[in-house]
Amino acid sequence: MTRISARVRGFVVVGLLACSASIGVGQPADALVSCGTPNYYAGGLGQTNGDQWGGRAYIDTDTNLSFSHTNDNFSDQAIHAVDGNGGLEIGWYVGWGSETGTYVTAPHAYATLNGPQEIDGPNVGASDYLYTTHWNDARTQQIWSVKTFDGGTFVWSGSQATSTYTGPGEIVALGEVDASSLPMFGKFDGDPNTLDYYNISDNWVDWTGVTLCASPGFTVSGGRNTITDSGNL
Amino acid sequence: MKRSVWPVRGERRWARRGTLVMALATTVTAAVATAAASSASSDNSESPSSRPLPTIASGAGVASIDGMTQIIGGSTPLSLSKGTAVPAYASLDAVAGLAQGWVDTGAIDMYGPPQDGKHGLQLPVPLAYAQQHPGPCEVFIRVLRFQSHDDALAALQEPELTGSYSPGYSLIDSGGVNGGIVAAVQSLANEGLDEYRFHWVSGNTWVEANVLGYDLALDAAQAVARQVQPHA
Repeated sequence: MTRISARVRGFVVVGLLACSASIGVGQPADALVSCGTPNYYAGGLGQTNGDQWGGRAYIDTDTNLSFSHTNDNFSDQAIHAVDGNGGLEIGWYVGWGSETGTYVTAPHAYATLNGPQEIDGPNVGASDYLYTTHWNDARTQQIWSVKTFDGGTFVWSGSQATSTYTGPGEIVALGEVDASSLPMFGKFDGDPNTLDYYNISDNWVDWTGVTLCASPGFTVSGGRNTITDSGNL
Repeated sequence: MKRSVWPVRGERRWARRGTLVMALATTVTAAVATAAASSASSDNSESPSSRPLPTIASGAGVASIDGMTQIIGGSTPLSLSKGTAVPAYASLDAVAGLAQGWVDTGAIDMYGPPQDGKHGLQLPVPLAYAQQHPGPCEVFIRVLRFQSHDDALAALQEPELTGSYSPGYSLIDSGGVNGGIVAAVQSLANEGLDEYRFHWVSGNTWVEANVLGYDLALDAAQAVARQVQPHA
């Protein structure tokens, strides 16, 4: 039987306090303007009460998306799309899995309806994979896949009923997530007025309905964009 | 770290655990904070479900488990969900939370303390190790204290809290502990480990105990779950 001592537990508290001070709720975060509905974020988004997500992308020129935040500790979303009624999300995580109720240190894939119905997937390690998710035509199913770049071998794929979580419409998104501390990397393309995604048929398609948004001081436009962040391990 | 902090005898062992606990404490805090749901709007408002909850007394989890070492201990928000959707159960009035994680001490001795995704023991515990040591090798506990008994009971009916939404969740007719329920959980993320999830309510406290292991028998998982003491 092993039990951490009061001394070590003290360090837990110290660690927790130190961590809370550095990334805790209430920390000022640079403002993100409301993008309306639907509202899409590419490459991960700093959550509204902290900055722990993969990254927050600002479209600042027609050729660049800049990240003001890089991921500190947790999950990178390959794609994250929301509206007032629900959404889609796929990516990888280190931390708590909602399906398993366990904590993992090895990066694992996951898919959710923007939170609800999280399905925890396999260990993806430090590999570069393509993560895609989209709605079926009737918006009754979330469909996802994780596959390799070379030949598109499926690492993981699946689908689940969207239940009452109807999303903003059919989307397909591509993202690459690197879990080895190398850059997370996604590609988005488009004309000056839209942001495009790379669809499941390997074509660039206008991201219809997307609301481009930017914080004060940044310019919003479409165009060829490459987004990166620093990963989290 | 000053040398005087650590005991003289078994110094390396404790130092390793100190590193482990520090690393995991930092990680788990970030993870819990990140996993918490936030408002779908972009107004920097904070979702009630993502608010950190006051920590329940540490004794409310498991005081000790034979052959296991505690690696996680701290508060937990109501929601661990990723994404930005505010869960329906956010209306439940949670007032305190506790999360604990325990892993097989032998696995730590073999691989080193879990530090991150690259070094030390990886979680879940490697199947190769678990196969050589059948039985419980990981235990993760969440305790949520609500304002009322009714809210605690309501939490027991929330699919997103219990995980019953998952196709890998299979309720077992009998075998719960403390008057609660038990389910088998199958997930690719468990990498070949068996998992049993116990839920029960005691007063205004909701308890979840996830027990994992290779070739894990229900009675062995029950024995671990029975050690959780929500009111200690």
